[in-house]
Amino acid sequence: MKIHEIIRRGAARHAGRTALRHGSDQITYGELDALSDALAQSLRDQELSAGHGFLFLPNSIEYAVGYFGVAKTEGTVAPTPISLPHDRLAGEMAYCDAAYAITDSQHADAVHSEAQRVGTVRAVITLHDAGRRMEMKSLPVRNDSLPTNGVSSHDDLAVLISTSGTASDPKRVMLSHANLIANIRSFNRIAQLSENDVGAIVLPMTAVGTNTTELLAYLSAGMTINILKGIFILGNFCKLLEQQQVTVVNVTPFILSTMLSRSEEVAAKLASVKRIFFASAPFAVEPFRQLIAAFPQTGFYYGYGLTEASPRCTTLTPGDQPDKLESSGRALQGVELAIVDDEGCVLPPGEFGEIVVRGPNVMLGYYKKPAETARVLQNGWLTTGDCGYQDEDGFLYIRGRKKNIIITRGISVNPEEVEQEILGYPDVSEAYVAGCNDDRLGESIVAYVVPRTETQPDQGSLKEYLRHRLDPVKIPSRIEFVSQLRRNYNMKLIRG
Amino acid sequence: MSVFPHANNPSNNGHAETDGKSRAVTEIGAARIVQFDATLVRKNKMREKSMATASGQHTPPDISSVRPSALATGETNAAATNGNGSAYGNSLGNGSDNGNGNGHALLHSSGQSLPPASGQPSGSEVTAPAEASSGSTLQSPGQTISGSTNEKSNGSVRVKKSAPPPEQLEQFLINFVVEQTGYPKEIVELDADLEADLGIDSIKKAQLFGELREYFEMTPTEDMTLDDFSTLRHVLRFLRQGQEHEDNHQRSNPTPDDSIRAGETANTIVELTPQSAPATTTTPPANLANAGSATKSAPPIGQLEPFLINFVVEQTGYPAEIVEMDADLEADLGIDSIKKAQLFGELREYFDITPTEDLTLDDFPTLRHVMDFLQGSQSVQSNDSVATPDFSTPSPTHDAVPLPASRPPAVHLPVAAAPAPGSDQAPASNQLEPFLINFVVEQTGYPAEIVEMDADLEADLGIDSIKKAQLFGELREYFDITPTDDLTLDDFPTLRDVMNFLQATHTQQQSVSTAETLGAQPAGSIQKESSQTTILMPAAGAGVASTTDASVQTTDKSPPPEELESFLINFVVEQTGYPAEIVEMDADLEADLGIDSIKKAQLFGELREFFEITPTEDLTLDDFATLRDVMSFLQGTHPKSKSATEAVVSSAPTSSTPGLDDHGNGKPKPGDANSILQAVSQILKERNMADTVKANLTGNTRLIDDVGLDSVGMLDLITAVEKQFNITISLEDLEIESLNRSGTFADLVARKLAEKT
Repeated sequence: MKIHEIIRRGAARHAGRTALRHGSDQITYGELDALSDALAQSLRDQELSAGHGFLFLPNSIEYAVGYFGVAKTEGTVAPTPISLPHDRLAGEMAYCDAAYAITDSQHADAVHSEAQRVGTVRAVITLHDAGRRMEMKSLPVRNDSLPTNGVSSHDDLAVLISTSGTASDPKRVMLSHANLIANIRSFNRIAQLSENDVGAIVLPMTAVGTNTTELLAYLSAGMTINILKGIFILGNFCKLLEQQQVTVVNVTPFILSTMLSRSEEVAAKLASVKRIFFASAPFAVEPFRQLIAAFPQTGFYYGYGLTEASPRCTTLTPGDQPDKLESSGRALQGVELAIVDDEGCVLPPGEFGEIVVRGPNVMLGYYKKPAETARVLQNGWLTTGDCGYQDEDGFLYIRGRKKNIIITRGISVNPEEVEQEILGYPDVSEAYVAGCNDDRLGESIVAYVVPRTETQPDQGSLKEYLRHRLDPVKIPSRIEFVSQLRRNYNMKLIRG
Repeated sequence: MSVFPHANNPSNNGHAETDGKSRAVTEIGAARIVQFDATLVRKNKMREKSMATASGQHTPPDISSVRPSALATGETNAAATNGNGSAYGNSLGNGSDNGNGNGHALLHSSGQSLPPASGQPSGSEVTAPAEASSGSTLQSPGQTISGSTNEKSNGSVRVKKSAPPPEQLEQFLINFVVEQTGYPKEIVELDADLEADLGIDSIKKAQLFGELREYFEMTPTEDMTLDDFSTLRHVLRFLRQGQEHEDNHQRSNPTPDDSIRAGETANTIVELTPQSAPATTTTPPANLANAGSATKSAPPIGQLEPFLINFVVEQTGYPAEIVEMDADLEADLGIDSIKKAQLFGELREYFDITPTEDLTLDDFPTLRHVMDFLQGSQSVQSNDSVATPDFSTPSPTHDAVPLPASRPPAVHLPVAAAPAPGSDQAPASNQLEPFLINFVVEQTGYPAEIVEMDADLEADLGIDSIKKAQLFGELREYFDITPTDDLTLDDFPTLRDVMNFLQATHTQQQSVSTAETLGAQPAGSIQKESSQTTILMPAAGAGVASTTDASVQTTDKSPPPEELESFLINFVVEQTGYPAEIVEMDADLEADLGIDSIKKAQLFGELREFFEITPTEDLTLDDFATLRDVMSFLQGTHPKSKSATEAVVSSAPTSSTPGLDDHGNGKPKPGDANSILQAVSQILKERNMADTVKANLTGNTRLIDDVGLDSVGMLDLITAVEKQFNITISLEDLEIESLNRSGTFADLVARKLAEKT
């Protein structure tokens, strides 16, 4: 099954039902099917079928129309976080071998001018009015051959999802239709979504969790999805959930702790919410308890996942609580978990090691990065780079990370990317960036900086410097000036 | 070389043993890498999963506690000798086999963990997915393919597949029906007739088989039809036969060399394809739904009254009880001409009304007038299509006027049906029928049982001509039918008539071009007409004239032009979605920017709210052809209250903002909106939350869009402000609408400060 069949079926079964709502805009399943068909047809007319569609849209109905439109051409969707600085668009498009880009009026100019620098891009499509209007600007053909599916052996390739690459080295995960469908299925075993549910999307739709366990899972359950307008602000969030009688929502620990800060007021508004999912970062036990107490009518489902696994691997259900609050739960159906030692040998329960995962949800690989793929994918097992142990009942406990990554606000940040930018600042000689546990953010980014001279650079201007070069989420929340960094005998930076 | 958990699913091995089958093992030096076919594994696993669910058993399989690292050192030959090649990978999942290789492990076989009640899993489950592993006990997919990547030639494969025990399969089927239908499990019996007893019609049945086909990897054959499976027991019997057949097949091909191929073919064991189902199982009437777009469903006349009342309630916040149809909109309900224009704008969108030239807003003093007009226009138009030329031109695009029963017969009646792209099949009658019935059910809320194909739509089902027109409007969208002139609604008294018609047209028109569909339009662009292209309801001129009460008291200070300018441009951008670049201050709002008079009235309505402008009678919309006209007007006005901080803080005497009484002397007090802004700027700078330039706020600076605060930054800012001013901002105020613009944000803080005192 292909992901766009979700929409076909939905339209066949309940065309008149609202599929997505965003502010005053809404679209039915029938319309979503028809509009994505129309887009797909236009792409076919331009002989862009099966190409990689670079999606640069904020959370919107247009996003869904673009997403399924690309899929319907048998193409591959490359959703791109809207927070990506515009000067990195060309690099991302080139890496993705984008055949065309889809965007909205707000970003059309930037995308168009960046696209001209990329040989493969043949058109820029702008969607307006919930996808009901479309403009297509063709670019002069500079490459004779149309880049199609970059990895020809993967005709099942559905999406190229961004991970924490760097500007000079973007990295995307190849997920197949089968990956996504399998993950939706096993997720729904736990989530039990049905057409009686009403969903809300608060997190970026380009994130893998939103992609799979919200957009696709909700639509495949025949639900109506309410997209929060604008960034998360508690009042708007509560209002949306209350007005639309939302029953299911996926959030971040940050949102949970914000809810907790005004739990009484919020609980009154969230009476309809039956299930809240969160996954991107562990939540401390004490606030978790408070949450459960403050929202007794709501079930909280915590889970572990990663982009490379489509992403859901485990879930801690309300039934598992309260004894296992520190755990990330048990593996979803179809997902196998194991803890291995440094040699890759499986460890018994209770022993600490690296988490490996296998199942139909495990990615095809990193796009155009066979060496990195080979490093993490062996014999179907994905080495996650996360460490922990399983207890006797199969519950997973995450206790650290092997890979050099910071997960803040649910987004993976490559510390080296931040370090590189800090090093570009005139008065800095060395930099080391690390994650620091943070109740709200999961981890916050801390930079340790060795000044070049004795006078410390001004923190404010350093931050401002970074703000021009990095995604806002990647700006360190703390900068500490130190005299030296820890290095090993090889002069290699000691991390962690 | 690292040793990786084996591809085999945990408890398969035990099963393999009980079945007396063996698997091959390949050893490459001291370390082994077991390879496997991921696709095969996935398929098998899916099958197992469904089994596991069906069995309701969640017992994790036992696994060996032997650390595989030990195996890697060469102790493991025993695994091979006992015929179980999966060696250590298995220690991951169940450890049932290998490990020590002495055969003890085999005790932890699936046979043991199978019985649902067997309860306590012993040993260490390294694998978490309890369901999955228990499921795998039901069936042992033979996916073990060993051999390192480097030395594929050494690899050998055994494929094995075993049928789930009958009772599991039974449960599986029942669960399946439960999931599909939502019936309580209790009522689903194996011998119940699927159609007659369980109400699983042929569509649902086809779906069921579609799903089963996915789970069981069945490929279609030609000799069976859905009718061959009237009960679940039939299905069950069939599936079991298939599995036996496949098992036999497996046994007859045990040689390792063939086994890879065997593994592949193992997926096609059960060949079931109900004849009527093959392609349609997965996408029943998908092709029926390709065309729809932009459906606006207007309330039928019977609902007009509550609709109108609701509208007023929404606009005014009055309780519905006090909104009467005969109340004067302006005098009694305080709906001024701007709001009224808005109302008509909305109505226009809902009802897709074409304008006439002889009416003005003043012709509709009460809601009842509006309602009468709406009803009248519909009936008039349906009776006299020639007199309303706007409706008489059938639009070839399928998004044309979906609604009102303007001229139901001629306009909406489908004559030429163009299949949507991809819908190259005429819908089968057994699909069309439920589709049509469902349609009526959705539209009317009647129980499906009472909707019969031969019932007279009007007389029996109470679908009046308006509803009927709606129905055809919808059908037209679904089926992408282009209107013609020679049929009327009266030609279709029953659903059956509709169905016959649809089938006929589909058959005839299968090849009708897709040129009429969205995607095929010239230049690859989707020209989805919005209703804006139709004209507004009350005569445009009149509506405009009467919505022009936006004159304002004069002000002593004007906001800096550049800020007002960007504000106005942003406003238009937000309203229209146009790129800011093309919105020029001197562009003609109507001619250049396509802002018709209704939109314009809305714009003024919004501006009025922002700037708290009081209406006067001496200006009309026509006095403001361009944004520049608006700007100069605003600059010449005296913002009554909000405007102080809204428009530009530095110049703002705001009578309505507490604490802002001493603006003139240039010494802001604490609590002064201006000083609040400065305090906010200071917080942003101190915390390095924004560029120093951006942190210099004016009332128009948007904290999110301009300064770039995200959710976390905004929360930090609020927390800091609450602390600094010792106030609490309530949940209702924590909204983008109050927080984004610095001016409103400062107003909010000022209000909280005032409340405190």
